[in-house]
Amino acid sequence: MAATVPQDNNPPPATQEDFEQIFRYPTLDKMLALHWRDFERFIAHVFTCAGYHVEDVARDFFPEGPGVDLNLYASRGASKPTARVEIKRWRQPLQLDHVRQFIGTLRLAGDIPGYMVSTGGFADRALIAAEMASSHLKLIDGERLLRYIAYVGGSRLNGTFAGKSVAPAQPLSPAWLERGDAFAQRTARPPRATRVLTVANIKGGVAKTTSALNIGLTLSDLHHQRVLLVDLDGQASLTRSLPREALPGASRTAPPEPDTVSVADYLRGEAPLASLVRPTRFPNVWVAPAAQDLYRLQIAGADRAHLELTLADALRTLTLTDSASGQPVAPDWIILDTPAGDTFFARAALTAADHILIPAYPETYGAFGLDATLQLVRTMNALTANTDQWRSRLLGCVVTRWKSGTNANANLATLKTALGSAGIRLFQHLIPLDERVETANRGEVAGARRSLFRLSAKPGPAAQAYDEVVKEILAYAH
Amino acid sequence: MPTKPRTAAAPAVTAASAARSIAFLLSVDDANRVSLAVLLAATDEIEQNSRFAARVRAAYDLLPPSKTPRPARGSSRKTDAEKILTSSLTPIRHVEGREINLAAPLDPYFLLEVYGAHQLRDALDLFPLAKLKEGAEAVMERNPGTKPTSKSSKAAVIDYMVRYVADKA
Repeated sequence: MAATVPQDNNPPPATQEDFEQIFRYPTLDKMLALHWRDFERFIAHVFTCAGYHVEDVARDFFPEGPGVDLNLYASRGASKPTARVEIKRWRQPLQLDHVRQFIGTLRLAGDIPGYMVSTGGFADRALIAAEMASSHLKLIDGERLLRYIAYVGGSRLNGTFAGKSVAPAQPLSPAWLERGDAFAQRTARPPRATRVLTVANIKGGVAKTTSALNIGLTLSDLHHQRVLLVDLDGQASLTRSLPREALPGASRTAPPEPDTVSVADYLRGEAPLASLVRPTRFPNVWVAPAAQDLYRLQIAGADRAHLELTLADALRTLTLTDSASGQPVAPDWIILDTPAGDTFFARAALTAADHILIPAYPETYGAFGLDATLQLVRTMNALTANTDQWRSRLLGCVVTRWKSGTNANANLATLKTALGSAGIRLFQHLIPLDERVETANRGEVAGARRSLFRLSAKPGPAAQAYDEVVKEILAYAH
Repeated sequence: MPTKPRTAAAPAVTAASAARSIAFLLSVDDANRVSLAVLLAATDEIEQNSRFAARVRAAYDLLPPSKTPRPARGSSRKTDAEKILTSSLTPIRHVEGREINLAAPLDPYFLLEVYGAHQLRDALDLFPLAKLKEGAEAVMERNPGTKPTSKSSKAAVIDYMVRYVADKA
């Protein structure tokens, strides 16, 4: 394999740590800086992390000229490869001849489909040839490779525990990126009018639910928007804060009737998602309720990409039922409340998002969670968009539960600097610690109709802050 | 009744003490009420009597200026948090791969990298003194034999870091 990038002839081999660095922040420059042998090893490592059993055959079958570099097997015991891979770490695009030769090689080597990885991309005629042979050959150019690495890097699960593999039953194929592109195109805004806002943070207790709820209530109450809140957290706090309308004749002090259906029913295939949406006691606010079952519906594995895209598609296109006409109508906003942790629900919600808001608590442990959350945003972005777009849907971080103090102020300054250095916005308004939030929560859970904004004639500090945060959201969200 | 003109140059003359004097002279008890009464009467007299107006103006000119009242917290004065959140600092480059660690000591060299020499002072000013001292420690390690002129002054610590981090860059 010709190395067109000038290199030492015998540099020390790249280490696992070098590979992890590339995994964490993949760039073409880092890969082009690898020796071509290390680049092949790295690509083999990527496919291994994706769940394939990888066989390095570069020098076994075709040592001269273009040939197969890797065989990919769906599992260790499989007799036939699922796919073959040729790898080119070049700056120039591969030409038609290269692609034709590889197609020929694949046919000779058992007619098994193949991937051609080229950091330099492909010339137009090569792309046309590959399109004509699409059942046999998929091309992975530099940008697609970065996306695959970013998505696999944030999704991998391998190794064994107690003799059982913890790896996915099926590997994560690069083909999922095409499905991601199709999802993004099919549900693009415009023409879709509804905006999807995902409120996410891997760290718990940072006021995700409080923020999702109060942003939703601000949008509906003060900005006259139709808002659908979707509770994706098995804790179901959002659901409890938006109880059902009281039954006719029910006592004013009777506790609200619990929900009998939830998003879990949709995930079990028992009901369409739109059928689970119900009104709340607040005008222009609807909810798709959660239940504890969501805790048990943790999904991982190759089916993960399929299910993440399926749920994201369902969320983006969710409708309400107009009470007058009985017809489905699109809400102005869908707000997704996610659970803590790197979960299937958070991943799907980030995929569905047009806008992402990260509530953050400026203290030491909270910041570590913020780091992991930003990594997750990068991972899920890669499923549907180029890696350099990962910030484009991220509105930024909003500080919550704020109480001033020497440590708090120092942490805030550090957070501002850290986020600024990463190109991420810190909202100019923060949500102060305010006992009225708990007053409102208690009332809402009991079925009251007074939100945080209506507890008194003059809104309290947290209510005013949420109003300002929503103004910032509307200014930043296009 | 005293005939010697009163003067505003008399030591420690205050509105309250002047009001008490007038109350004494008029044999009334409520000094606050008599203050208002005097002001109302004086308003009419100033409009009609130019000599009286001149006397008031002369006394005004002799009095020391009032102290400028400190704005109440929460009105026009920004809190530390507001100062941080609304600062106009603009990163000049993005730095990938750096963990967000609020417990880490302040790194003025990182601030230089992110904000540039022209914004370093403003970036440092966002931090409280305790955090700035952490940054100064790092600079002192790199520049043995140097130290801020005062470690208890935020301005001095910032000056020191700007001098040895930005100016030497």
